[in-house]
Amino acid sequence: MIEVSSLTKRYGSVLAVDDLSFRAEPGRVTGFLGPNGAGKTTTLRALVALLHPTSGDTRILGRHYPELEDPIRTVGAILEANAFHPGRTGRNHLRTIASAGGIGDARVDQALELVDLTAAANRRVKGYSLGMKQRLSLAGALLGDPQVLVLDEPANGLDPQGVRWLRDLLRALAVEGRTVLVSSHVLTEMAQLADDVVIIAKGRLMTQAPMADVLAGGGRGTRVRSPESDRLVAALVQAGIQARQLDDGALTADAEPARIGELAAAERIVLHELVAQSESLEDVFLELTEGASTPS
Amino acid sequence: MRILASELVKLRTIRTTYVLLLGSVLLSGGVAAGLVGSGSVDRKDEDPALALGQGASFGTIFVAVIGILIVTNEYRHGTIMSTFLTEPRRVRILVTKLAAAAIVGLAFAVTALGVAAAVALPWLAARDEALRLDGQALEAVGRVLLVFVLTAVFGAALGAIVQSQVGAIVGYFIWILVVESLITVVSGLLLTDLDEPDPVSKFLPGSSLGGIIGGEGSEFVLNGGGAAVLALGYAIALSALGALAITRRDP
Repeated sequence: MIEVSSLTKRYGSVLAVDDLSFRAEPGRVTGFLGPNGAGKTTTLRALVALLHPTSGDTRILGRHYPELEDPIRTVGAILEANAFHPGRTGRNHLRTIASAGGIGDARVDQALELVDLTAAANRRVKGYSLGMKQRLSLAGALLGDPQVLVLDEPANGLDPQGVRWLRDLLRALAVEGRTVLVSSHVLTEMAQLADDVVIIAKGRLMTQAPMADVLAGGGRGTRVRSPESDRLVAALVQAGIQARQLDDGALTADAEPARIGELAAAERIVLHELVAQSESLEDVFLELTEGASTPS
Repeated sequence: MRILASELVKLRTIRTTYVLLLGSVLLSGGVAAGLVGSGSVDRKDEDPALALGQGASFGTIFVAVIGILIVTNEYRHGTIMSTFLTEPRRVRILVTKLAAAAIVGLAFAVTALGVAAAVALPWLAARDEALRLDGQALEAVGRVLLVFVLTAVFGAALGAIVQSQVGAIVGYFIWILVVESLITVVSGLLLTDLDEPDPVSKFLPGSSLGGIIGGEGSEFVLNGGGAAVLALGYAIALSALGALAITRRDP
């Protein structure tokens, strides 16, 4: 269980995180989403006491991170994809962390095996690909067999097989009852991974909900095309249905296809296309963060 | 103790440690050979063991660097974050790093002395000027150990204050080689004649380290004991500043 309560972090005049509150529950993967610069990394660093919040509170299993008795056996974290001494081997990198947590070399080898780095274990990290570095970071986070995982963009640099592998691994860890909080700006990854989503933009909470609700609650619309577009819009508006003209000449209307079809039949309007639309996570995301983010 | 073990693993698993150790060994051995070969050290010397120890202490420049690296390597490569995850109480991390620096300083001192002795002792014996391993020699050994340990601690504390690797290393050498000399010259010009010892410079941090192995005979540094106390004071003050910096400034 992870709790963030009214977290605020100000850097000079920039409000990186603004009164943010959310929870991540055990046994579930919580996706932490937001555009670049939304404050995801700042929030995750505050969780593990790597930065001093301006105000607010973060707790893991009911305690502040520095109060945890055996922090790396309780929380596994990735905060930076490339945090290694380049001249150290992958195995030795893990040994530096393991020895600090009183974890033996046998577990180091297990973790290497788990992320499929056994063959590269004795090579220096500077020769690793981005994906290998990402997997090494993950091995570091898993060393202490922690109950809680805090992962900042763990899928960055992974190839499609790697992303699928990560998804299966994180799902399996959550099924075992662990709390998994994982940030990403890549939505397609999340749609298939997360049970819950927390979406932030400009440091503020946009929504927190189960993934299924976010996708359903995004509303269903209908894509409809007619040679008599103007008459159709008038009919829809009269029926109290909102409609929007699309670039390709079609409309999207906020109603079920059946209702629109019946309406068009009653008004004797010819339709060329009538398709149910379910919004993707991407649509929901863009809607929720619209105005709060500036495209870069 | 676990985090100390981790610090020692960190040191043992990068090449830089061994490169610096090699540098220290070569320099100490070379200086010892120079001292004996040129006849600067012989039986007539008041304290030949101390002269050899001073030669071995050139290796402290490598120990200063490794002390700095113990802290700044972690900031440079981002590993400071996993270090803070293993022990979120940052002052403990700093104290552990200072202890690791002291241990490395000791190890460098022992190797530097060993090499200097291996070069000088048989050579002097062959010239029939064998060095007596008496109380004076033991004291020289103790002074060398102390100057290596304190230099390493200075380095680690400075690393915690500055955090930037280049900044700390460049800053250290500019201070030792330029700033202290400038202060000496200026205070000499203002306060005394240049050929007399000025009243300020012997209290500077670099001079306090040098005084540990210089001492006694020289008027330009404090005597060994005074210098050691002063250097220890500086080490504590720098460490306190380092603790402040490491807790205040987030990685």
